[in-house]
Amino acid sequence: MSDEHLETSSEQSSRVGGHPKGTLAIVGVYGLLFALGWLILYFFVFVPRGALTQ
Amino acid sequence: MIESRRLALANIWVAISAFGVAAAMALMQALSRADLDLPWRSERMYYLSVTAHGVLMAIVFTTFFIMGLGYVVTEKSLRRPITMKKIAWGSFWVAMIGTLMVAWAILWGKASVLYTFYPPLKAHPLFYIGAALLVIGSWGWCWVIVDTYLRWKRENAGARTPLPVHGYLATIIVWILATIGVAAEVLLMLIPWSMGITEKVDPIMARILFWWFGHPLVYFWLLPAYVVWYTMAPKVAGGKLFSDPLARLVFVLFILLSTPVGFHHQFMDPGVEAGWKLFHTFNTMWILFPSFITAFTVIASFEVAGRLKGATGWFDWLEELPWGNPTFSSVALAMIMFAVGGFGGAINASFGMNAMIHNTAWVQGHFHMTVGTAVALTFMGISYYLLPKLLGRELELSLLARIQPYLWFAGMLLFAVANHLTGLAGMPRRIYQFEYAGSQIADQWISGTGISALGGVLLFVSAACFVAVMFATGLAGKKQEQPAIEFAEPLEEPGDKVRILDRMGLWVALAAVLIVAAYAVPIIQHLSAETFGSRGFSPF
Repeated sequence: MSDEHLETSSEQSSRVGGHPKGTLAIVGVYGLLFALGWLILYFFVFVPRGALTQ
Repeated sequence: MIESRRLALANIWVAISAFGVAAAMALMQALSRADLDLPWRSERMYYLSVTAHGVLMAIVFTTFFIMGLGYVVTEKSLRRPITMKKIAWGSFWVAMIGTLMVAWAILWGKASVLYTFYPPLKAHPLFYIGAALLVIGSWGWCWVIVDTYLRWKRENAGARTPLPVHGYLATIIVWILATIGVAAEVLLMLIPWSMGITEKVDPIMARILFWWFGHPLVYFWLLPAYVVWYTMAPKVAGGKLFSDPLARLVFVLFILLSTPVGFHHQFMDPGVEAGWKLFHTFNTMWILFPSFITAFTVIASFEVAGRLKGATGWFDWLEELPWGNPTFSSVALAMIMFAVGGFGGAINASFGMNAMIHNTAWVQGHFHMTVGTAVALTFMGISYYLLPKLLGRELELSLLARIQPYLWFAGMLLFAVANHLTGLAGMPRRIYQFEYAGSQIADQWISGTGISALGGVLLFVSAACFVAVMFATGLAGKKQEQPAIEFAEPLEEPGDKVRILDRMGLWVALAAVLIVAAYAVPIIQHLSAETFGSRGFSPF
C-alpha cells in the first residue's frame, strides 16, 4: 500500500470518524417538531372538539 | 452479468406497466374530485378507477417490483445464482395470471370493491381468486429467495449474512406472517361467499383478518425501500453505511412489530374490545422507533458522503450530495416526505385522535406520503440505477429523469397536504360527489380539493415522465456496457458484533408469540359471540 493511499485513508477516517453532528441536529429538530405537532393537534384541535358522545 | 436478469426484468416491466395504468386512473380521480366535466364521468367509473388505482399501485406495482429487485439484490450480494429458476418463472406466471384475472374483474366493472375489498361489498369470484393467485405467486418467490440463501449459508458456513439479504429475509418473513390473515379471509370466507357456496359473510371477522394483513403489508412495501436506502443510496451518494448493526436491528424490529398492530385501523369498528385496540396502539407506537433509527442512520451515511468530499461544517455536507442524480434525489425526497407522513401516522395510530381523522381525506393524504412517495419514489429512483444495468443500455431521456423526482415531490406536497387539511376539516374519503348534496360544511373543502387536483396533475406528469424514461431506455437506449451493481460498504465491518440479529428463526418465533398475544383472544371472543352475517352488495 502506498504512503499516499495511507495518508488519504487517514484523512478520510479523521473526517468521518466523529459524531455525525449535522445528522444529530436534523434528527433532533425533526423529533421536536414531531412531538410539538402531535401536542398542537391534541390540545388545539382534538380537545376543543369535545367528546364524540356529547 | 446478472444471471437472473430476465427474471428480474420480467417482474419489473410488469410493475412499471401496472404503475402507468394506475397513474392514469389517478389523474381521472383527481380531476373528478375537482368537479371537472370529464367524459364518461360517473359514480360507476369513479369507484372502478379508485379500485383499479389502489389494487394496481398498492398490490401489483409493489409486489412485482419487490420480487424483481429481490432477485437482483439476492444474486448480487450473495454472489451466487438464484436457485430453482423453474419455480421462480412458475411463480411469476401464477402471479401474472392472478393479476390479469383481478384486472379483468375490475376493468369490466365487476369488482368495484376498492383496494380493501371489505365485505359486504361483493366482487366477482375471479377478483378474489386472482388476488389469491397473486399472493401464491409471491410465496413461490419467497421460497426461491430463501432456498438460494440457505444454499449460500451451507456453502459459506460462519459467514455473516450480507445486509441486503438480511433486509430481504425480513421482508419475506413479514410477508409470510401477514398473508396468513388475508389467505384465511379470501380462501375461507370471500371465495366461497362470492361463488354462492355460503350465503352470508361476517364483515367484522373479515376486517380483522384483512388488517392482520393490511398493516404489515405497509412494511412489505417499505422494507425493500429500506434495503435501497441502507445499502444502495449511500453508495450512489459516494459514502458508506454509517452503521451495519443498527440497520440489522431495524429489520429485526420490523419482523417483531409489523403484524400485531392491525386494530389501529379498526378503532371505529364494533366487535373488538377497547383493551385490545389499546394493546395494538402501543405496538404501533413502538414501530415508529425503527423508522427513527433509519432516519438517523441513512442521513448519517449521507453526511459521511459529504464529509468524504471535503465538507467540515454542520450542514455544508448537504451541498456535496449528488442532487442531480435521479436515484439519489428520489431517495432523499422520499425520505423527507416519509418524515412528514410519519407524523400523520402517529395521529392515525393515537387511540383517541384517530376519531378526528378516521375515514377522512387525511388518510389518503397520509398513505400517498408513505407508500405513494417513500416507497414508490424510491422504487422509481432505483429503477434509474437498475434498469440500465439489467438491460446493458444507457438511460434515455436523462433530463426528464432528473426532473421527475422533484415534480413528484412538488405534486405530492400539494396533493397530500391539501388532503390532510381537508381531512382535518372533516372531508370524507372515497366519496364521488363533489358538492356533498349541498352540505354547507363542504364549502370550506373546495379550495383544498382544487389544490389536491393540481397536485394530482403534477403527479401524473411526473409518472408519465418516469414511464417514458423507462420505456425509452428499454426500447431505444444505446447499448453499452454498464458499471456493476454495488452495495455500500459499512464504515466499520460488523465482524461478530450482535450476531444474534442474524438468527431469523428466533425472531420468527418471537413474532409468532406477539401475533398470538395480539390476535388469539379477540378472534376467539368474536367467534364465541353471536353473529348474524351479511348478504353481499354490488352497487353497480
